[in-house]
Amino acid sequence: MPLLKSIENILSDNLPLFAKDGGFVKKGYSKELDKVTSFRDESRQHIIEMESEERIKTGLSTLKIKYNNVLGHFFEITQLQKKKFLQMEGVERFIPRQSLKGVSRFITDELSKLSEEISNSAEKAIDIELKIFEDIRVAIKDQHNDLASISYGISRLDVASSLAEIATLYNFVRPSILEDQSLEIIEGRHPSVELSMHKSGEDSFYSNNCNLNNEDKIWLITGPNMAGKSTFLRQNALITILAQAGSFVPAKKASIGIVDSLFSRVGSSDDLASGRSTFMVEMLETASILNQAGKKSLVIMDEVGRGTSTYDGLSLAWAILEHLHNDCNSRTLFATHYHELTKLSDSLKSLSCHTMKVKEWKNKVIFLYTVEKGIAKGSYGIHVASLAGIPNPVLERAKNILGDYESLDKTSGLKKVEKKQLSQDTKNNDTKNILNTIISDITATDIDSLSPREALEKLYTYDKSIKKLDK
Amino acid sequence: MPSNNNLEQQSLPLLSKATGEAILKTTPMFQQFLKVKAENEDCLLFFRMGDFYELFFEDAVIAAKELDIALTSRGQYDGKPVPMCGVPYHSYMPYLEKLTKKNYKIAVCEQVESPKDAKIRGGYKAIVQREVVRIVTPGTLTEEVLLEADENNFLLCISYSKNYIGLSWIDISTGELYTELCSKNNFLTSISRVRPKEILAIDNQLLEENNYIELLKTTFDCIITPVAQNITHSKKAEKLICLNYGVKSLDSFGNFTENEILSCWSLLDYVSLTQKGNIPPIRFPKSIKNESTMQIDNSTRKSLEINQTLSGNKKGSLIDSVDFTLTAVGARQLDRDISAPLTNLKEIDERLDLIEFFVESQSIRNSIRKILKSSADIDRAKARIILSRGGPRDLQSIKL
Repeated sequence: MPLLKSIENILSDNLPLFAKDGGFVKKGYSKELDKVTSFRDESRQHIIEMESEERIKTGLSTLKIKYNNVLGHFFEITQLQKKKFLQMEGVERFIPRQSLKGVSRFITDELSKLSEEISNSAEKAIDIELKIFEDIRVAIKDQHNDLASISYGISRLDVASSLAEIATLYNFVRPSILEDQSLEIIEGRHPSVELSMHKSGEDSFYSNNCNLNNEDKIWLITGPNMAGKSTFLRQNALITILAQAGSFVPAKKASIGIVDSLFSRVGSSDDLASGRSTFMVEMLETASILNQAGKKSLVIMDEVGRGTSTYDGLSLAWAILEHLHNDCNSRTLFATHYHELTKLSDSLKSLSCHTMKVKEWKNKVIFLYTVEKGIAKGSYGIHVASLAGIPNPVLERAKNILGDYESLDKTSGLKKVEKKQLSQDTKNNDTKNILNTIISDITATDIDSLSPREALEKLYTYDKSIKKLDK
Repeated sequence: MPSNNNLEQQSLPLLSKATGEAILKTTPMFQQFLKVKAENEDCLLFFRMGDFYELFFEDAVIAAKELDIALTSRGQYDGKPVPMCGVPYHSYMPYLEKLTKKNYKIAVCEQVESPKDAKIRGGYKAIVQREVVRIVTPGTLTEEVLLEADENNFLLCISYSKNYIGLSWIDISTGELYTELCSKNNFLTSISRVRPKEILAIDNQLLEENNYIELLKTTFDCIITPVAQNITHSKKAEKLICLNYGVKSLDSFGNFTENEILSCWSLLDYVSLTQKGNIPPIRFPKSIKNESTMQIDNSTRKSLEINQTLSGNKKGSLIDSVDFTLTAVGARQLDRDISAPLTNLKEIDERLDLIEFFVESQSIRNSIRKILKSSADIDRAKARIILSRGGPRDLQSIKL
């Protein structure tokens, strides 16, 4: 392209910010410009010569020729020398222009002529430069489509080579892209977490497998908070995005059946600004997923139903899973804290249960950040609470309550607990009543008048009514 | 934006329709100001006076507050002092940046003749002629300081008719122009993929009945501008687009549906309006098929932290993590690639092949990356030069 070549030949080394400042065209490019600029520079030389000549003529060593935008070039002398200067011979050729506090300014015909020549040639030089600039502008305009192709080529080379750089540095692999409904990621890692850890100098990051296919479409993941459920969910979605954007992925092996739509409902954030409740937002988003997800979709759901009461939430999550399984038929990763949902693996044939691996050791809980087949034993919420610094008495009390809950039948656990609380309350009332009867009976009785047999009989009655209470 | 007809707005002295002059008697300068302001009511008017851009009336009150500059007054109108503030003309860019980031539109009104010429024309009392030379909106920026180097700055236009929604979007700083046909169900998803800085909605009954302006406002935090539908016939719009490119038909660029054409024309029209006829270099429009990219809606993008983290930072997002690019054009391409994963096996494999080549040929990769390091932002330098807003340093960027 001749244009690109000529730009290289035109531009000088030190470029001004604006074209109208001039001076950006290299010497030797335009004869006309060089002629004008050399004339301008010669005239500037004349000025310097004129200054020294006049110094000798007037004998004033501080006489200077200066320049500003209003006056052009002018002679300047200090007020101290002005008196001496005005008494000199031949001073008439100096025409006073301006008198300031410290200095006086004069011009001569000779100087103004030279000054005009300089300003004319400077103007002319800038006009020529601007003309050259405009010529290039038009040339660029004419070739803008070619330039766009060049920059597109650069952008593609940059993207591919930089993704290759990442792949080499951080062991990303080429994913196999397939036309089926599978999602198999072996030892996948979360790209953002991994790269930001690398940047801060750490390099241990947990990897996990994910394997969805036609027979095993939905993974229901239970397990404690903080154990890495959300990270696992997200990393599979992000790996899919990277793969289909044409990048290598952070995994040991990945084969991905093309995903045509990706849905994710992760965490709950209060949308106070728009005045919608968390739960409303959650349901709006869930609705759009259920209405749109299909067999080529990938759906990520984390703790859906958390924003409402336990029963509401559990029943909603239950029905949502059934819909995803039976109607949407989408590949789905579904994390929940409702352990009751794991029962669905009996009725939904393409659903399987998975959990975050946890080790209990010396009364402490260790999260292994690994996904395995199975059902979580507990939520370990109290463990997380203790990590967060909840005071000990609260933790102890919570453990007791949890013990009560867990000793009850799991399937209808909450109902029983509520019943238990209820019966405990009535029991307390009964105890009070019986105690009151016994006390009033004792106070009403003259103990001294009782025979040993009568006393024994009373004791039996008390004992009987107390024992009745226990049943 | 000073667009609502609240009480304050009504206090702005309007022009008489009959005479075209201010209703109240005032100085010629204010007459001129009010006339220009009336033509650009939804913009803050930067009114060039000597070495300053001055703002008056409500504009001054808003700008002083947003820019944290002193609010003074100049002269009187209707017996009250006129609020005024100003910014120096030689360094007004940072102020413009602040205002566009806050989703204001700015009309830049210049002196189009010298005071000397004005006096020759109209006697010693004449004031210089002024004209709006450009309207700066968040979606029509070209200056380096106003733009993010590693992101596109898209202006998007929506046209809704006959059950379909046509989208088209342009980045005038790079010249890219795309169109897409959507349905009512998926147009929001497509817009969240584009992440425009400004949305134009062709105002019609359908749009109003569905309350789409409100929906757009709650979904996207960019400026939404309703534009009047001046052309309803897509054949006419197509002709006008062809005229713009100097071609006979759009067929060679792809198949465009009526809605895509209508939105595309309104988009180009708005660009021409804001640039006052100074059209930037625009590539031929490219029609994107809705199903050619993975559908990822706005809340999914947010929850997966694809473009930004939940706290709204770019740092820590997926795009930020995998951005090892060395050029601005590369960074923008990567941003577009990750935002729009493909659904076509062949296209994906082509990209993967190129990466595999670079993984295997390390020495070629290294030398290419060495060259890339010294490459400049050709696209944006080119647009600035063609719009006559560029300098010699932009020429150097193109030199390679």
